[in-house]
Amino acid sequence: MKAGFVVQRLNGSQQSYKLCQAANTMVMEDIADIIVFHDEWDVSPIDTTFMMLQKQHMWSYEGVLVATDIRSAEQVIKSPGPCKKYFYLWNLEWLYIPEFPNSRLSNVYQNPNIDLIVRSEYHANLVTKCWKKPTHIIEDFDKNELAKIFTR
Amino acid sequence: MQKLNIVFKHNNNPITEPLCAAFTKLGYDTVLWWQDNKPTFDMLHERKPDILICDGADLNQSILNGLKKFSDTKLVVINPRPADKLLNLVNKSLFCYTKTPKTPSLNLDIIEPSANIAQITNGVYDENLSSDILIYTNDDSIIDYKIIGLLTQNSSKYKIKVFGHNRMNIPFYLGSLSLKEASNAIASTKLAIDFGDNYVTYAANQVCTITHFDNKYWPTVTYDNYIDTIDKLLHEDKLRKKMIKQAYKVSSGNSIIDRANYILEKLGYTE
Repeated sequence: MKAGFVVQRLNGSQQSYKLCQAANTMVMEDIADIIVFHDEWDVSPIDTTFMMLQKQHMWSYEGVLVATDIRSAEQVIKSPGPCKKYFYLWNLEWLYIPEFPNSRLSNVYQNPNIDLIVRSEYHANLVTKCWKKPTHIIEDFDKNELAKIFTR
Repeated sequence: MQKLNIVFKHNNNPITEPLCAAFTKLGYDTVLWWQDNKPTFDMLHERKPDILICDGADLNQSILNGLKKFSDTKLVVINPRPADKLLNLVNKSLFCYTKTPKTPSLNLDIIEPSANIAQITNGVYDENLSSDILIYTNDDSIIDYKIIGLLTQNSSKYKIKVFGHNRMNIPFYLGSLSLKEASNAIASTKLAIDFGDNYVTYAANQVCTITHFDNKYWPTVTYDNYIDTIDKLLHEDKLRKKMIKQAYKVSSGNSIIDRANYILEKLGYTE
C-alpha cells in the first residue's frame, strides 16, 4: 500500500516527531510504503527510514495522500494523482490565523473531496459543529489506525 | 425619475456604504470617492455631483472650500461633529444622525438604525454556513465577552458560528464573509445575537434576534436569563415565529432604501 504525508518541513516539533515515529514503524513493519512530501528541508527529529521528496512530486503521486496543515491541504485538494485524500488536523489552525475570509477555509475544511481526520473526541465535536464531520479520530498519528485507512 | 449624480466619500463606514448601495439600487449614479487618490476640486470639477455624502469624521477644510465654489452641490453629513456648526453656511446641507446626540444643537434629522436590505437580502439556505446561533459582527459592533463566555460554556448544546471582520479568539469564529455569503448565513440560522445595529436587518430578513439593549424590535434579555431565553427560542418554534412576525412588522418602513428616499425628500428631490 502506498501512502504519503504532506508537510511544510520535518523539524523538531511534536508533530514531526510523531509523524516520523509512525512512518518509520509502518515502513519497518511493512504496513505501507511511506513518502513524506515537504516544502522546505530541515533536520528531522529522529533518523528516518522512509523516502522524502520535494512537494512538487505529489502531483503525480497515486497513493493515499494525507495533508497535515491548511496550506498543504489546499495543495492536496488540487492534486490530480492521489487515489484518496485526507486532511489530518493536528490542531485547530483557524484559531491562529490573523484574518481570513471564510470561503478560503471552507474550501478546505468543507471540501467534499477530502476527508478529515482529527486527534480527539473534543476536536471531532468542535470540527463537526464548525465545519463538517470528521471521518476518523486518530490520536498522534497512531500507526495501527492509519494502517486501517491506508489499506481500505 | 430625476437623474442624480451622487458622490460618497469612501471610508468603510457602516452607514454610508449601505446608503451608497441603496441609492444605487434606486437607480441613481453613485460613485465612491477616495480623497487620497483624487483631490476635492478635481472630483467636483469632473463629476459635478448633485449630492455629496460623507461622514462627520471625514469632513475637512478642503471639502468645505470646494463646496463654496461648486455651490450647486448639496452636502449630506452623517453624524456631524459639534464643531461642524459652520456647515450651516455651506450650500444646502443636511445633517443626519444615526442616534440622538447628547447635545442636540443642529437641525436634526435622525436616521435611526435601518435594515440594510440593499446589501443583505434574498439569502438562501447554505448547509456550509448553517447554524443554531449566528453572530455576525461588523466594524461598529461592540462585542460583549461576557455573553461570548456564556455561549462558550454552553457550546455543547448549540451549533454556534461567528463571522465578520472583527476577529475573535474563539473556536467558533470562522472568518469574514462577503455580503452574499452573509445573506446566506443569516438565512441559514435559527437565532442571531446582535452586538451592534444589525437587529433591524435581522428583523427585515425574518431571523429571530437577541439583543441586550433596549430596542423596539426584539425583547431585551439580561445576563441572568440569557441562556434560558436562547433555549426557549431554539426549542419553541411557535414563539420564535411569533417574535419574527412582530419584528418584521416594525421593521417595515425602516430600511436603508426608506432612509435614502427620506434624504432625497429632505433635499427637495421629491418624485
